Amino acid sequence: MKSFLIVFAYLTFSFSEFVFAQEKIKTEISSVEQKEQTVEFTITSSRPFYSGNNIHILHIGKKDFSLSKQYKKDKTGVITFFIPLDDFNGLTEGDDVWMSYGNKLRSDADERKDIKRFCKKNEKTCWSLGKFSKQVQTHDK
Amino acid sequence: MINKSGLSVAVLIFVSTVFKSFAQNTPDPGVKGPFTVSTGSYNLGDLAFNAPSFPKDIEMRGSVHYPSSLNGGPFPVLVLMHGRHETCYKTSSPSVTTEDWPCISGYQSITSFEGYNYFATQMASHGYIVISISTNAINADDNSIADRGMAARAELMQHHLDLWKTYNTTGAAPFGTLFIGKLDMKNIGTMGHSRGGEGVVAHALLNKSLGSPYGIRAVLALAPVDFGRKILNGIPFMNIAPYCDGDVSDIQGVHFYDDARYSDPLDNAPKHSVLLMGANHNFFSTVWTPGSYIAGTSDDWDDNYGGNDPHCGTNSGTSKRLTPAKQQAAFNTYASAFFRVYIGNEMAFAPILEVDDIVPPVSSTLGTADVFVSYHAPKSMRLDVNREDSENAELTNTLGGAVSSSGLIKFDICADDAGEINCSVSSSPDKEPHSGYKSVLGMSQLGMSWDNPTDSYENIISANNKNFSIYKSLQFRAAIDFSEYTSVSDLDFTVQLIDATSNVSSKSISAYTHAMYHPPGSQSSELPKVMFNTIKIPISDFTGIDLTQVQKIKFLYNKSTQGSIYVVDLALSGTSNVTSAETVHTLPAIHIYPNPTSNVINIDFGKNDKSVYKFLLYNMFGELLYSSESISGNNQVIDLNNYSKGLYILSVLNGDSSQNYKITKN
Repeated sequence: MKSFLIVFAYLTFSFSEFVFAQEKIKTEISSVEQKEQTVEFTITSSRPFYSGNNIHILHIGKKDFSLSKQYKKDKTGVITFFIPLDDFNGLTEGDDVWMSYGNKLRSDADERKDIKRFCKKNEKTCWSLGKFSKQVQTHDK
Repeated sequence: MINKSGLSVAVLIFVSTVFKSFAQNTPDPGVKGPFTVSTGSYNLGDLAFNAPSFPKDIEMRGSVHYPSSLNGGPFPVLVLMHGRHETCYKTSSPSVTTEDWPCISGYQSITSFEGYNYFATQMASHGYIVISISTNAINADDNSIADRGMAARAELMQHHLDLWKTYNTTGAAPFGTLFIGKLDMKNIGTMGHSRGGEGVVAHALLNKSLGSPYGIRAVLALAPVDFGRKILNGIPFMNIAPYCDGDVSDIQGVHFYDDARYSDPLDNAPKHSVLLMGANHNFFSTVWTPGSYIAGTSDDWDDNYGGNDPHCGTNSGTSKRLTPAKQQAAFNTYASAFFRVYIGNEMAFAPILEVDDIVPPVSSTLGTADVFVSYHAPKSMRLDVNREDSENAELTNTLGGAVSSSGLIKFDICADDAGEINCSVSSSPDKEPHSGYKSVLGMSQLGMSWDNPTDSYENIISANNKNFSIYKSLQFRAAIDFSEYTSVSDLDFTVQLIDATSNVSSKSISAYTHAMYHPPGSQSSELPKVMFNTIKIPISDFTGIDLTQVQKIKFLYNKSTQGSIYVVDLALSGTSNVTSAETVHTLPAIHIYPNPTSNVINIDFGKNDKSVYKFLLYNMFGELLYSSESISGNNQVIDLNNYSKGLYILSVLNGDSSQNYKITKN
């Protein structure tokens, strides 16, 4: 039986931040899974993500990741980002986790200090996903 | 005091001046042509092509529009490539779409390649064979590949051309012998939308790397992405930028133009960029436009940013958004102009592309404030005065002359290095498309702000370049910095030429352009945007000075109490700098003969040290036809037998000096 690692990243975020009163849209990190030298970081939303020509970018602190695969399951949107294991291991606990459609903020932008607020103003192209904190568990399957 | 009749005369003079400058004198490239049009399609299967750079097999499917009467020929060819979009929809419920490939049972493919049929029909009516290819398989999986499938798009387009080479030679199903001998595979233009835009650039580079088996003579990128920052030199290029792009909202395709300007000293290809105000990303394709197709359509601006922006939002009372019909008409007109000039050799439309005629053709349905064009003239027809391409450009211009400013409250080159990759306009890259992002450099540019009508910016002209009379125009690109100049009013200022005896000739730029508009919109992180446009003034309009002894170019900011702009690409342009070669050249002690010629030209170096010379032969589209690094013997012969009749530019280089000669082939 093939053995692989499951990496659980526990993210501290307030679930209610992702439930918008009017549209009740829920966007969250649904799984973080290691496959060989890659970590698959999956985000799901109750509303499909825009499928266009720009790229979705996962921001964790000052690191950006954009290799991804986008799916639709019924009316649910799913994006899985592929993060090299070394890069994942180098991420800093407590950093902001957010996703954008396209390049939305320069690295020195003041808006990065309150990314939740920025994403709330740009809810169709920005998703604040809480603070990054990781713990790793190994499972055999 | 001006009396009533005096005022009338003054108004008449003003109106006639404006009318003269803005009059539309150029033929309309967007009107339907004389050919009736037929269509066809081919589908070799959903998994018919195994591209070397893609992990999955790709469909070989496309359409063709062509003149119904294929008498004569061969006909010039256009190949179109759509962008990234959903790939399949559920037959029983079209609102359900997927990004699978091939489509699963119960679903059918979204035919994005049919989204430009209106343009294909237009060009076929003028005698073009227009092929449009499907890229759904790439779109289904490209986000997981580092280059986003660009190499695969290039390989797919080349594979389609290989297929059409077969149709053109031996014939094959489904067309049989219909197209044998009908396609001019040495005269091909390509157009790609969105990811297809970077795709056609990637294809042109691939075709070059293969030794140019196909003659790619013009490349048009429509609302393109530019993830890979590819640089295309040597082929006429046009970017079309929609101001209200709700998908590629940072309008990153401007980098294709910006990056290629000075990257290759041998590049002689013209570059164009068309800014369409009020245009979004999707409406260029009828398949992506709500109401025009059964599945997967959207108004990208409203969907991603809502409808309330005063310029781009369709719900605002002040919306300037173009309807799909107007947006498609605008694309039809400007893309037609581009291909009819560079593929069809119909130079009558060149003033539209070269900012000599800024009135939009009637077929575009646009007003003068709806469209702005940038133009980078071929090297052989351009003298760069100040490229504004480094910090040093604040002190010394490209010609070696001194640069100075007077009274300006900001005078700074920005976006030129890793420590200053943007110009502090905004924290959002969307608002500053020409600038860089992170470690990727943008376009170096000179920022200037003023608060006094005596404030100015000057470039001294070096001794060897004072004769402006041999040029057609003075031109530069500029944009308002909305973060510092917050008034919604357009800006105006004066451009002065000053000769050796201090005679001054002044021109207000407002007589020549609408481009110094305050950029519209107020959408959170996306609008307004700093977008550069070319401003061009005919040299002959600078009267009352000695145009053979121009001492300096001065920008005098005397038309407003304050203002803030960015400037790049200050240059002289036009064909007048090309030495007229009606008979024989002996400059500089080089003898070029015969001219005109019917077969060969001889270059006699006489007693000159021939090893220091290099010569390049271009056609009038800037395409490099011939290059010589080393020369043996006193005579060099260039064989023109394989070139068509017309004008060519022979550029002779000696170190940093160069001289261009116009060669006529009869």
